[in-house]
Amino acid sequence: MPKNKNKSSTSFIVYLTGFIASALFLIAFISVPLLQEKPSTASFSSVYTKTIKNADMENYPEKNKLQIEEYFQISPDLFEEVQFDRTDDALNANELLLVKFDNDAAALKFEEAVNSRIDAQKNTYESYAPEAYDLVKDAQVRIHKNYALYVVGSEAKKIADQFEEAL
Amino acid sequence: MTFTSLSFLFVFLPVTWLINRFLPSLKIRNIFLILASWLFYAWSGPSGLVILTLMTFLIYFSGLLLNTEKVEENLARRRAVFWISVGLLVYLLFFYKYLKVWLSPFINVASLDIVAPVGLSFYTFSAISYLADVYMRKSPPCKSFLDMALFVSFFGKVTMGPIVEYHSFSSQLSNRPVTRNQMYEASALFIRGFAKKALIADQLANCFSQLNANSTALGAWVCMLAYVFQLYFDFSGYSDMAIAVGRFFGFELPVNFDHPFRADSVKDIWNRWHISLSHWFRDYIYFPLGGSRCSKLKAARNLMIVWILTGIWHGASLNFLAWGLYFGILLCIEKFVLKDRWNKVNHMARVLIIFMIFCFGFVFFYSTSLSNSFFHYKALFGMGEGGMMDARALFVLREYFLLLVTAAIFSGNMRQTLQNQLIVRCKRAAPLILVVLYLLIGVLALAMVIGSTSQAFLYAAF
Repeated sequence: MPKNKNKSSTSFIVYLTGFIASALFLIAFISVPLLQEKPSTASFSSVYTKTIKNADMENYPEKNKLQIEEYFQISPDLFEEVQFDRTDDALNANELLLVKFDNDAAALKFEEAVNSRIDAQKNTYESYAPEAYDLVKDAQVRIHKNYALYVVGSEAKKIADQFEEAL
Repeated sequence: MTFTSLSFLFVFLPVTWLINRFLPSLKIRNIFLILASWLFYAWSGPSGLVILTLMTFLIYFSGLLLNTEKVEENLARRRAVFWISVGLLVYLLFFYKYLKVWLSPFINVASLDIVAPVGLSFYTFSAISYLADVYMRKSPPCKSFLDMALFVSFFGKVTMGPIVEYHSFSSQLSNRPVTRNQMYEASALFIRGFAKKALIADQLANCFSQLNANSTALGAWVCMLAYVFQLYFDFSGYSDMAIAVGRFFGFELPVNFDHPFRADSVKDIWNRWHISLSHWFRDYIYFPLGGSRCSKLKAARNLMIVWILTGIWHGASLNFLAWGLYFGILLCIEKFVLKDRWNKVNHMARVLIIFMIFCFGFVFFYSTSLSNSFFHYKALFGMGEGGMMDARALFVLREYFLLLVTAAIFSGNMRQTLQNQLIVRCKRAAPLILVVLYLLIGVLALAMVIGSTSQAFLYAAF
């Protein structure tokens, strides 16, 4: 093949590659924000109401949000809003923690805290409260851009699914 | 960072100029200017700089690809490369400027976090002009990525234009001497632009904002006049500063305003107002569609297409479309109905009528929506809820009457006339007097900016 034609083919391949690469990068760059989860614009009260809709909340009396420090070792100040429902009966595994936040660090702390709580509860119930143990094993943890839910109970999955729809 | 911000005036511009002045070669100066421009642009957000850079790569490779043997000899491939590139650029504009507004009635886009990069409309059009110039063989493709980067991102024009067409800029990338006289003239131009913005436009903005919701006829008229003069002095002031900044570095950017309120026809005013945009649409939409070298119907169609697109370029909402339609229809009437009959009308009368027609059209511009524009129109004709006038409208008119008259006078040739008179009468002392005057005006404008009476540039919204 003559040298010029060779060079011309090489240029074509180089420029075509550059053209396709820059086009793909451009499309990818502007598309990435579209794929990222967006914060929910739903109000906290509406999210909570929809989350617990039609669920039997008898075993989930409301607790003071300051008590999450005692149960989860996290400060309620990390979050914009907190809803903590749990009975005082230590043998009862049912509990619900719904939080709203505006930064990823709070989401991370929430996840660490509830995972520690789940491990601790499992240790507590493993030997002498098998039903409670099973409930904790099936605990639902759902973390989104600005809302997170932790729920243990017989209707935990239903409550968690309703939470996601509420967002 | 904008041209009127203190960081630009006292740090960025002088430092950039000084460094550029003492760099040994043009190539090094170009590289330095690219870095300075990227820094300037990134000031408003790094993600915008990524878009700008990726777009530069895209058009750089597209231009070179269009010139390769395999593409140049094959019309289908040439068209594909060109239209895919242009399509991507238009998609960028659509994504950032129009997607949320146009798709919101159909799908939930409210939570999408889409913020248009500063100047996107302006530099995208510059990019399209490059591709079109290469495709239409008006210019050879740019072989140097550095030259391409400087063309796209030069800080003198990247945020608000003027929209520079590649074929008029390319030669300056390799040759642009700067003489002392050019520096003096550029400095004077910069101060004039700064004064237009800080002393007139920003003050008229206060007048406008006080009467924007006023439903009296007097209030509506003062509001409309205040807005049109504000827009003129704001954008022409910016353009003067941009051209001056270009000249500081040896670039000759196109003039964007040429005393538009002296126009005596609709066509004339659009040859004098935002000239770079008008020329872009003329060169890259109107002429390729056939211009007026076709049947009257097609010529009218071409005009309407240009003006609908011009309206849409300014904004996604219906009031901008209405604005474009308004001027498109007027131009068609002028060209195909009135023809030469319009020239028989007294010149002064034509100028005044065209000015009023222009002002009426811009009611769409400052309205927040189409229905809001009807609110303003009703008020203009005395059919608003407030009636003919109220205390507020009278008060604002009294407060700003002198400024409005000053704006009207200085939107013409008064500055040049006064300057010429000074030179004739003062002869040898004229240069010194002019320097002192310009410095005083500059200091006054700076005082206004520092005193926090400054407003954002209006055309930054586009």
